[in-house]
Amino acid sequence: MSTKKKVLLKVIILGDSGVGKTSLMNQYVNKKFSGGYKATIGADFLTKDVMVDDRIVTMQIWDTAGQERFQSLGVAFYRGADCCVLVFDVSLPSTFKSLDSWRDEFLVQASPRDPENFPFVVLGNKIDLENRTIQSKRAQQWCQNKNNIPYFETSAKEAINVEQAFQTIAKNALAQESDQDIYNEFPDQIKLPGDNKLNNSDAGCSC
Amino acid sequence: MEVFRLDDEELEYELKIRGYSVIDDRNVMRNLLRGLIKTGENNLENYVIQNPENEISICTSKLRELKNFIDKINDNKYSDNYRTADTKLSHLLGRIDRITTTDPKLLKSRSILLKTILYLMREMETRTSVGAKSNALSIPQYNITPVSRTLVITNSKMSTNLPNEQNNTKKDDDQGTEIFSHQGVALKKTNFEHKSDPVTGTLSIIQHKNGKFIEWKSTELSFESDNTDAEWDVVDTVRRRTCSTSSNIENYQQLPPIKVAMSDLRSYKIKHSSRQISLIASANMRYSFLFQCGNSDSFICALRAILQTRRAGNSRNTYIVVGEREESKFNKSFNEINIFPDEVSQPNVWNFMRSLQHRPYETTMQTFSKLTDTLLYRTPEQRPVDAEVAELLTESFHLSENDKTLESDYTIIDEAKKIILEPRPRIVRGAPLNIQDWASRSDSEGRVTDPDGIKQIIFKGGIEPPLRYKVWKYLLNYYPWNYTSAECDALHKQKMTEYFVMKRQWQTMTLEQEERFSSFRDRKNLVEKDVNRTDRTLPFYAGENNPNLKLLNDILMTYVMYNFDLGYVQGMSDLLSPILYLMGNEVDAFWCFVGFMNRVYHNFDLDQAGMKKQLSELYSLLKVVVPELTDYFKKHESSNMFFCFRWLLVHFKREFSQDEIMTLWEIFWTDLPCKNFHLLFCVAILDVERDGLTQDGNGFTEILKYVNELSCKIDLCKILTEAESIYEQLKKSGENIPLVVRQIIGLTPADENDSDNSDDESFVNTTYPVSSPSRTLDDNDSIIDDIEKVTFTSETGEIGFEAFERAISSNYY
Repeated sequence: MSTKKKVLLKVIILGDSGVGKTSLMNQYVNKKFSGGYKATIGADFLTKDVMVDDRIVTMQIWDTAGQERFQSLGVAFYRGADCCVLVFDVSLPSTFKSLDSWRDEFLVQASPRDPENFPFVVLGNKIDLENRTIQSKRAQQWCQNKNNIPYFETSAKEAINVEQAFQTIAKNALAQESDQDIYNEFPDQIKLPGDNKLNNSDAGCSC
Repeated sequence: MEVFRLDDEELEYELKIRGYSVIDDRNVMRNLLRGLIKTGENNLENYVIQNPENEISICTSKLRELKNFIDKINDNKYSDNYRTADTKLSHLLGRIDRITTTDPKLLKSRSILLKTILYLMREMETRTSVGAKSNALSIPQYNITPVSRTLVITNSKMSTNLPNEQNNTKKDDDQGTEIFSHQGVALKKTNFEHKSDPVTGTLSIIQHKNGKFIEWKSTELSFESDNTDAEWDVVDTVRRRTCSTSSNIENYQQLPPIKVAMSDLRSYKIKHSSRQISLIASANMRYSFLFQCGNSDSFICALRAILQTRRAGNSRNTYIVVGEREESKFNKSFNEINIFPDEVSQPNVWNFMRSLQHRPYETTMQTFSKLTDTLLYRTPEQRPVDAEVAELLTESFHLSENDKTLESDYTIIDEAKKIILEPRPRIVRGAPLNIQDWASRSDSEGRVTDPDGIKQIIFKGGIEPPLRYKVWKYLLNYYPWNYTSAECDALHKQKMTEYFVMKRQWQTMTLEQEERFSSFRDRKNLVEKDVNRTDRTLPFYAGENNPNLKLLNDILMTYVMYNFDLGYVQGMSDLLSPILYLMGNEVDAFWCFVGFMNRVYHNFDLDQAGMKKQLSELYSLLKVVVPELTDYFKKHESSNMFFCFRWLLVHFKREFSQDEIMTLWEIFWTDLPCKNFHLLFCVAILDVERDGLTQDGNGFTEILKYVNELSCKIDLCKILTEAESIYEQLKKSGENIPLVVRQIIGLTPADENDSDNSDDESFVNTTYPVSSPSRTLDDNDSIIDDIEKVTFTSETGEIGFEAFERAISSNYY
């Protein structure tokens, strides 16, 4: 199975406004934290080459705006995702409650081939704060109920658990990507005309 | 129409006939189309099907596919297959109806296609007979008893005679046959003479012995009056009721009736989203009518069925009458389909349309029950399949020897021309507005005597920084240009009081109140989060506990109270930051911010409609100015233009330094040289960056990255020069460029700006608010909107009622 083909893993980070999506991405890719990040408008991404199971893969990590009304644009960015990272702020219960709708929305918009087994990873961020209100148990419970989503408690500010979390993200994304690639495991991908149309014919919402 | 059930090709067709270019992203197309259907922005006139033959071939093959779909339907009227088939049938019916051709062979094919649609409709009904039966049985619950149904049919058969009975006080026995009539149409203008108090009446088209006439008669009535016993006369309720009510009142005819011979009609003009129509007859007679109830769509439809018209070259909404039709297209469609087997005569079609408008629910149920009667309770054996239909469906049907491949060959007229642009002229920028410029254009009391001159200087060179504090208040409509300094001071005081009243409203909210007021709490949390991350690298906002952050917070919170529906949306803090930095105090900053928001609130629409519209307009502009780029974007899945999202949402705030953004904004605020100059500014950036954008076969991801990384690397002066030059180029190219594009930048006025109807604005604004900052979508409302659009924008009327029936079901069950 192993070829020299360069693997690109697309990872989408979702979660309410201000839970630390941009900070987590920057901490992981650039190893730095800044209090000066602005609210993300539209979307942006960073890439990083990582080793996963003796393979070098490129992770393309997408950061999107957190306010709900901008989600209708999400579909352009979710397409072809290999893993979805759901982030909440352990000090704000409302951000935890939103996880359900973020997950559902992602599945609707990205419409992966196998929604039941699509890899998600949940990150409870800002554990450096003192006023924590969502306990690990509760978050773990939620993850278990959703087909055992891996759960990490992180602090983008203090760089706690960020590396480990993204390692898992990369691993699960790669597993997903390999699954998808079984049918065209050639050195160069063969693009079928109209391929996109077929894959996305059911994407999108109803009236 | 359930937009999501259309495939790409169908979506493209529906968008193209509405004058929109095709976008790669299906969801964007869907949303755009939904929006267009909802807002009624259906300019279905400005397209032409270039190759009717090919179009027929596409429709044929689509009908065959549809047959397979329909074969899979069993018993469930709400199944996916049923609804898909239903949407596609509606789409195809409109599509086939739009095919115009003189070739008898093609006409024949068209007719067979229409028959096939009817056949498939029946087929669907049969397959869902169980569901439909239960539906029919449930009808009595909704006020239509079997008895009333009998009555209805009798009455509707009588209805064509009714005008005779009612008006037999007049001697002339040529009362004619009514072809169409619409209640609640007010006469607004006669030969440029305004009626200060528009008189309500009925607008009809009547067939007399000596030809067809448009007639208007005044009435004084209210539609509510006939609500008491609506059960029996569902078909023609409004008109007949009205007549009988008004005939009891002696002096209801305040104005003499108007009668215009169809052959005298020279042109007509539609205004105010089809709510007003002006008829211009020979001898320079001119009448303007206002549709107080519904809109003129069905009237126009009826008119076009009789007259052949073409759009006037200089105005999008003016139509010139070419002549009367030999045989109307619409009658043909109706006759071919024969969907009203009980009521063959053509006036009944319009009766149906009209009552659908006034009593949509009853009319639908009634017609539907008739359909069930005639189609459903007959066994399939009793209705033989038309041989031609069978042939078409079994694929032995051929149009001609050269049956072409499926290829969309329709196009918008404007696009058919090859666009040749004039060369871009050289542009020289000017010096910024200085204190001398300002003083020489103001009087001794502080009034600005030449605001246009001021704006011109600003457009050419911006404003010198020390003067900004003063001039922005005028540019942002906080101070009126003609106010004296004393009046401005008084206004400032008044606005200060207003501001603090609103500020107190949120400040005095107790914690307990907040706990029970989630929409307030959510807005407050969002503001707090964003204030803490707005321009923190600028000295003005840097550091912990910076008092300016509190000001930023307070202004945004007060804006939440000022415009609670819109509330706070990410991006607003970016727009406020430079204003607060410049004004330095919360009151002035707040009111300037309000002025800015009034210009850009559509960027923050809940459904992002404003943003999508701009992205689509940007694409249209780019397609004319730099077609190589749109071609490239299209090939690389980037024609959604999402990479320009950030530019537009915060008006380039993230792309320039604080100082530059202030210059750029004040230039935009002059509204010079045209509307949507900011879109031309985008086009200029993309054009300048053309090579970088398209290098190495960049796809969507790379283009987005490239654009995001342009931040703070754009040469403001160069792009402004380029954008202005592009404007001059487009202006010089005049008629060579598509109408849609001319309208985007205001070279050709769109509906609202039509100088001729500026006097009517107040009516439109007060009666029907066209847009509100944030529309909350009420389910029922949106369903009704959809119904109206589906039903009345289609030229053939009948396609609406399936969708309609379903919409009502989803509303009731």
